[in-house]
Amino acid sequence: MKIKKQTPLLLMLALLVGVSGWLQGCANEAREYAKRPSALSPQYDKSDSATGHVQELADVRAENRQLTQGQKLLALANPDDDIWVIIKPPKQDDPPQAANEDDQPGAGALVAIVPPTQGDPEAEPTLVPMPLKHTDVKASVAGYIATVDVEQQYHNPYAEKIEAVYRFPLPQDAAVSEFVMEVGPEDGRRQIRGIIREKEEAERIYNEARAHGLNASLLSQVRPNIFEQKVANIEPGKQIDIQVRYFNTLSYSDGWYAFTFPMVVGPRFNPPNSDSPVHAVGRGTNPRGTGTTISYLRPNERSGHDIALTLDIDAGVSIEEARCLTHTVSADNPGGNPNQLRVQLANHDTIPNKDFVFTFRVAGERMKSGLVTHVDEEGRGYFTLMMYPPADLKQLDRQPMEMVFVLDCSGSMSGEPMQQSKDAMRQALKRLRPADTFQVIRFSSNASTFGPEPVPATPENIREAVRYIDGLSGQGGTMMIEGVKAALDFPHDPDRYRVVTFLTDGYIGNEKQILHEMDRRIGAARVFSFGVGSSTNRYLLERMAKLGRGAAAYLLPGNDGGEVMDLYFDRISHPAMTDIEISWGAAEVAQVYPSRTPDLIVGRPVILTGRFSGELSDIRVTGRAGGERVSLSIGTDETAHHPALGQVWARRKIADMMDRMAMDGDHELRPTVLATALEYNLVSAYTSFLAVDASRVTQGSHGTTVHQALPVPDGVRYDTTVDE
Amino acid sequence: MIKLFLAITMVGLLIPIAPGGNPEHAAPKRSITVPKPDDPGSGLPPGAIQTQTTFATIKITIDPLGKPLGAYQFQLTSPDASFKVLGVEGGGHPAFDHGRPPYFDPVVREAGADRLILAEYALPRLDAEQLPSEPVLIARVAVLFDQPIDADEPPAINLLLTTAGDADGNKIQANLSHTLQIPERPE
Amino acid sequence: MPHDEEQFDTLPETIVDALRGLDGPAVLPDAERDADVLSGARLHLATRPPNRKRRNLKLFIGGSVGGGLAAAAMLGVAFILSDPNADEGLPMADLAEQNTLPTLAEEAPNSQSLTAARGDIDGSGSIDILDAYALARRLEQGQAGELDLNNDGQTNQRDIDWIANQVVALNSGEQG
Repeated sequence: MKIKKQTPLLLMLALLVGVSGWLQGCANEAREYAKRPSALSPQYDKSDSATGHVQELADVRAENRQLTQGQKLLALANPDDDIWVIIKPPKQDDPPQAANEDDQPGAGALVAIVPPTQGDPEAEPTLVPMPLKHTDVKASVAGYIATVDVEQQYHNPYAEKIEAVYRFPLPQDAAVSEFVMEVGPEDGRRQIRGIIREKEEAERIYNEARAHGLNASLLSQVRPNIFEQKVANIEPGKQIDIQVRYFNTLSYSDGWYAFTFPMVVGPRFNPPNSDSPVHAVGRGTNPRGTGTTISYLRPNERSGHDIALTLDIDAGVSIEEARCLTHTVSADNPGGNPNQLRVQLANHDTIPNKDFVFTFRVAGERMKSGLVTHVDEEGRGYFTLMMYPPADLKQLDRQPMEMVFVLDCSGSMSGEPMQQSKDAMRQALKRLRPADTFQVIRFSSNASTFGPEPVPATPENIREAVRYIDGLSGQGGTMMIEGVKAALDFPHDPDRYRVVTFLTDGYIGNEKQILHEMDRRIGAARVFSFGVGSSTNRYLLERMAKLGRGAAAYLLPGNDGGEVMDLYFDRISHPAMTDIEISWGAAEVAQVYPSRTPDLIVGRPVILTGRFSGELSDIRVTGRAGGERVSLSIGTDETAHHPALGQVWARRKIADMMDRMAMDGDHELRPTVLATALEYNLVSAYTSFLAVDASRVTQGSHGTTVHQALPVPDGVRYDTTVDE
Repeated sequence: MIKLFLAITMVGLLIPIAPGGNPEHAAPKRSITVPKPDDPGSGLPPGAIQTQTTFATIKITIDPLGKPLGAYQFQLTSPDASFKVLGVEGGGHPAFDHGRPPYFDPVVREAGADRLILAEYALPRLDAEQLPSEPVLIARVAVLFDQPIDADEPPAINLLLTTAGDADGNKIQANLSHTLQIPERPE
Repeated sequence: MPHDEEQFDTLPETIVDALRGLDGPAVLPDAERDADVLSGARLHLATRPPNRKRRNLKLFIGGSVGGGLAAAAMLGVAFILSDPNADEGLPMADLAEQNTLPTLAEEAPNSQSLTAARGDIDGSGSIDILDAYALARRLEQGQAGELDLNNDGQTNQRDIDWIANQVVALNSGEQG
């Protein structure tokens, strides 16, 4: 390409442009500076000279009576100052009143307090039941992909119209793609299928419809694993049903597939600088202005909202064994087909205060083929591949480990979760060899370590560590960020395989910050997260494991921590296949998620989801194991199919982009996330489902908003986790 | 000359976006959304009524002209892109009651306007005698118009029949019509 | 990693004592006070006048970026005004797209792409709801045969849905 003689002139012109732009920027700044409102003082826009600062203080003191305590405190600080807020309990404070006798959800009716009518201060508040009458879950599993239909029945027991608001959990990888509002089932069923729209627009239209007195419903995602259902203008005595469908993949561990249906959102701790906190408040407490608010039943209350669950499994191969550790169920084999199983939640076990987890084992330890494909109506190919690690990895010797345990010692871990975690850690310490090193880190409101640096796993050090662990207890907040920093900040020993194991319930509100800090510090470490408790924050735990190319495991109530750790240790102590590369044969493959391929660990397969064209066969995985280069073939002799793979893939893509946005702090991917969610009809951080019945206006005003309260998860203490 | 003009235009476009000050005090960026909304979103406080918009139900009727109706497929649009679809339900005729609403793409937005393609078939177990051959309500679409509705000049709505079939699946002629129902506030 | 106590050596004793006391009985944060302090902090820090040195630095950075943009503008203009027929001059590297994902090849003839034959149950030459109706009737009569359209190994309601969802999809080319 030839540059012409005009170049010098062009250069001058371009420089003029740059300078003018810079000048304009300065002018903008000056204008903004002049317009800035006064914060604490009308003279706040003075320069930050000493005179100006003194003037500010004088003005502040003059206005002190109008300021809150926090503002008074901060008026004396500079931006570069650290602010320490230390709160000591007043001497005569009693601990929050909890249950009369115990701290577990007990029997009783769930009621809501309706404030007295305005203008009548003498009137007493009335007690009425809550609007979510029943939840019906119908799930079917084909291979390792689940299709779950959830029907929520909202009933208005009040004498006036209400709006029901219900926040509930779904699996963190759920692709929510169908939404139907059913009105008037008692006098002629009408089903209105909802529309997927951009979130702000859907919210605006819902509010308008509500103000107009129309029946309307809005399903939004407030966090990746927490959704909010609003139903407007439910007339007295009437019922509105909401049907939602989602897809997700089963997890697999040590020969067992697990179907999980979360039923409770665990109370979260929010560090003081959380930008999107999750507030746990007692039932009847007003929602907070920022973040997500979940209201909880008090320990002497029980939800009248029952749940029914039916699960139909078609594994494709014979099911050898099945069990449910969390609930009482009945299971039978319809038609005598050994590949199929029908499971139903027993009638008496309907307090929905713990996640439903059903596991099953198939013949030959795994399904015939881990490859599931689908080509949609437009010819787009999708696949999900569950890669099982080769059994002969066990034969290779492992290299010395640098084992770092990070134990959550916050209040929500007190009781059984803490005991299980301690059992697990003691067992892991016993499995270490003298050539290994270890470190134990505890965190709650702050973090502290067993030693200044990892110590060799000698018998004396292990005895000391066990004594240290025995002395730990669950109390205080959950400053997990401190645990993350403590675990990953010290230099990595290049001759050792660093494994960082988190034991936590994940009850925090600043997930983004945690993941961001982990991503910055992860280096060569592998992260494994143990979710401890009945309703853990699986979204956070799975994300941490994904970032750290590790895996997540769960210690449910009643599990033996030592046994679970033994199994886990068998896996992580043998060399995983690392640095994995995949050859897809003749097929063209693109947009595979997770974009960072995890290590292959014995007993824990890796699930990849992607797009393809052509013929998917002759898939080979190459990586390092035991210091050697290893290559293995992935069998695809019989490929299964599932029509929902497009949504499953799109959900993974969205999750990957949201993770990148959270960790990088930029929002350039937002349009792509929005476009993907709209194209595949998925609820996401930027899209919501909306349905409106515009055929009739309901009687009365727009009514009262009632927030459906949840039971505190089984095993979690109400008094240490819910704000009164 | 054209190229020179393009070049000057290009550098001229750089002027408004050249940085030069404290980015913290720059004007807040408008978030980019896809597809671009055709009207700005604004939340309404509870109890407020937006008088510039109208909720309505479009009731769609098909007349199979005396033949037993086995299936239908049509398209619904607004020529001036003035409505937003809020929900779709069937017409309620038992011959088409599959326990779910008719088929349509829930992502209704395309190129800045809402468009619906609705389709449904009759219960396959029914004979021709059990299928409707008179005009029958087949769908109700809840919509939001971004303007007040004048009863004398209702907004234009386009209905385009793609195909209709009889009990044996043979193509038949049929006519589509619609009425606009605006819900009234109860006394 | 140092012990946590070492980092607190320079703090006032009252604060150190209070922090040590945190490991004692549980102290639940007063959420209202917490929110109060936070809102005050945000308000305070947001409206403080910026540090003058920082302002100057930002102006300098802004100016540098402006100059960089100007250079980019010069290159762009030069490109626009370049003579495409010239056979000599400075080489310009092709801009490579960052983070390119492999694009999918066109569908092979034997792949599962949609054709007029697949889904055209009634043989009309086009695919519409009448094909879904035809398949539904065949299934009802037990005459569906091997019409596994969605390749799940079965012929059932899902195949009917496969046709119907395809005909109502907005990007299917349906023009009514």
